[in-house]
Amino acid sequence: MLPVTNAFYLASLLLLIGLVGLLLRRPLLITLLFLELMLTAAQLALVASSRLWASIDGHALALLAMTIMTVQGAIAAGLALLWLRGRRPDEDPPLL
Amino acid sequence: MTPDLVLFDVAALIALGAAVQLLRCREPRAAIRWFAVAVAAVAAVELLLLAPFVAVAALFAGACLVAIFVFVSDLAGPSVAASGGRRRRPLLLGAATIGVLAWVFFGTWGRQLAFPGHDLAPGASFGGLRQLSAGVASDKLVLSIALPLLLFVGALGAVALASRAESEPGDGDRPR
Repeated sequence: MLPVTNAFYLASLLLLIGLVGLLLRRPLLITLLFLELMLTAAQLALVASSRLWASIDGHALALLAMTIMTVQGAIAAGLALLWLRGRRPDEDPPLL
Repeated sequence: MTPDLVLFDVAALIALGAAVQLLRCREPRAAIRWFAVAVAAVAAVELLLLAPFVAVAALFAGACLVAIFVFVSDLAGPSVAASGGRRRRPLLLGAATIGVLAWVFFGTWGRQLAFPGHDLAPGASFGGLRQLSAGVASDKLVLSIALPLLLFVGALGAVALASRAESEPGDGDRPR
């Protein structure tokens, strides 16, 4: 049987990598990707918790995290469009 | 080592490798590609954790996000999209990644070797459609109403932002 602790380790590692990328990388799009990676890691931890306690609640919360992830991506795309329309060509530093 | 564990290790390695590549790459298109690989690998892990519907939903949400980000990246243009991300600390990152990987693999294996059998065996119906729908229809009724509402509000916000971007041109559209 699959050990659940391995899934927790994987989720914490993905969260750590996402945090490192969020702190070190500057472009807006890549920063958003790291945010999404952190949410994916949280979702994996919820699924692993659900398996550990044999409860379906973690799956429902994982679906909530997934919805938040998608909504955040849509809002971020709208904000990026807004910024792209208003930016000057010689603007420095680039955000995307 | 069971086949499940082998599959988990392969998926975990792919997810971690894709995340590290996401840290390394400079091109937004390549970063989006590695993000898609990481999401697919995490979905495979969720499938192994007896959450097939969450895995399918994660794949679908990941595909939507990849489509959105590719669209924005295309709008930004190659000159803007290829730049940025100059602040790097490769030595620090490499050392941290190797240390954490060693901690995960040797630490996990050591712990499993020292304390075996602390895993729980859920029933055969765990994570199935019947249990999930029963849970959503009874205990998580508020959540099942809140999720589409949240998606609707998010879509409205995105459409409002995009239409505002079209109706209010910024400094970039001024004649010089």
